Amino acid sequence: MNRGNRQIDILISRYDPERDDQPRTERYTVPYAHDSSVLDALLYIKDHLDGSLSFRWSCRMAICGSCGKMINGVPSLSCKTFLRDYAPGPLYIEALHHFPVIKDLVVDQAGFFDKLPESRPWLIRDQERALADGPHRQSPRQRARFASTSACINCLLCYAACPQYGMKPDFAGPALLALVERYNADSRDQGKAERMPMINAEDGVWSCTLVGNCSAVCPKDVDPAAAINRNKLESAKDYFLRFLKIGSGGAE
Amino acid sequence: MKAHYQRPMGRWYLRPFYLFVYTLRELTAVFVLLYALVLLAGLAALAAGPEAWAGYRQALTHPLSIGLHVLILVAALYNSITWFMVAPKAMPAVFIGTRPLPGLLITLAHIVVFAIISVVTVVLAGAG
Amino acid sequence: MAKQYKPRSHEPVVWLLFAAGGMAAAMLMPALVLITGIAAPLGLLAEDSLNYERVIGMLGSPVGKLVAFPFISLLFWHAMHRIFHGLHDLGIHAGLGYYRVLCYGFALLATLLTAGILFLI
Ligand code: SF4
Ligand code: FES
Repeated sequence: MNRGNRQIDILISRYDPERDDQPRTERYTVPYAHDSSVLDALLYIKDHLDGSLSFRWSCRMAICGSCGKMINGVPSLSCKTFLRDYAPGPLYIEALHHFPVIKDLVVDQAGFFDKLPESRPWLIRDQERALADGPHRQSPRQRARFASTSACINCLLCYAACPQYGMKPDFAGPALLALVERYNADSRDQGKAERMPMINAEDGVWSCTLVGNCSAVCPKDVDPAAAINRNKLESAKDYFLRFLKIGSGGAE
Repeated sequence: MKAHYQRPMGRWYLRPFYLFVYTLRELTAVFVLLYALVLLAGLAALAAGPEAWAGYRQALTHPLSIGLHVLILVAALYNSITWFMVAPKAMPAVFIGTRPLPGLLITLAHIVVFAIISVVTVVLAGAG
Repeated sequence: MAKQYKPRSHEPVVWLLFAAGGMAAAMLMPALVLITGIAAPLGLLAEDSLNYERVIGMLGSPVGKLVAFPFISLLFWHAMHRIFHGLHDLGIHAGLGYYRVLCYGFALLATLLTAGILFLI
């Protein structure tokens, strides 16, 4: 980290399961330069001020999806957020909202990953294409249909922005429903019927009230709110057309 | 292993993060309901005859009624704008070749239609 | 064990009514509120724009009824749908089934009333 000659105060919500019943707030003063990110500041604190601070990170370049934190109440990637934008400070950093806090800024992501298999995030075929037939071919237009939903990095900022998930952890949630849409929109996939039960359920798209903050905070422009709400229309069609035996996914 | 800490939701809907995009938008429903009741009362007065209708129109001139309708108008406008803002997310995706139609264009198209409908309605009513 | 996503929700029924009412309210309500609740009572419109004969002429006609019935009743469905979900947002999670019946029951009642009164006009 380029230390720089400016200083900013950072308040961090800390939680140590061994000694705390509730999170407590600690204040640190860190030096920073024009290009210092919030992640740089956390690393500075861990290296120089308090080695017991726990947080996740990896790539430092907004692609691994592991460094999400609440920064002044807004879910953000700490490696993609710059201290200069918060001058003169202070900044307030917490663990991502709506997930159980394990320690300090580290949350338990099971609420997302445990549900992942149910979205069937792989290509489903009626009949597997034989190797000898060569690769699936896809036009740029077909590829464009899932370009945005396939950009998700599982950072879970959208869950931390979603009050419906916060109130009801059984709700499949933004990224997972965007993933369902990603595969349903893929011209190589034939598995929509298998994914309809998740869309049709109360804990599927129907727990969404279109708050829209999931899309606002998404660092990859996945627009999960659009993916979910377009599927409300799909689910409504499925609901009524199943009586005509046109619809799919009839799990009642 | 000690327990994880689960933050309570508290009054999340009052946080600025949610208040303007969501909470106020949902609150407009109360005013939509009030206006629907006002219209229903109007229908009832109309069905009851000319005197009842005159009484209904008289009641609407009360300053409290005017004030309430100003509030309803503000709420209705807020509802319209926020509705058009989320419209692109609720309709099937539109592509031009490989590029998605920008949501802003869809919102603007709704606003143009809204403006035309509003002007025509007001002019027709005003003309008597 | 992974969570199972079933059964199917019946939400599409009320959601479609909510969405239709939302579009009707968004497109028409500001102009109508301005006319019926502000301009007409303040006497800003032409003298007889909301007089009995004219309004009866409009709402008494089949076309008028075909417009007024869905518009007014859908406003109720739109509002009650949001109010019901608002209860959940306010943290009222117990007894939601009861409130569901109450909210949508009210919308249904208002719909029947609207139809009944229009029938009498
Ligand atoms: S949809 Fe966006 S915010 Fe949500 S996990 Fe994926 S990349 Fe992160
Ligand atoms: S460290 Fe990888 S996304 Fe921030």
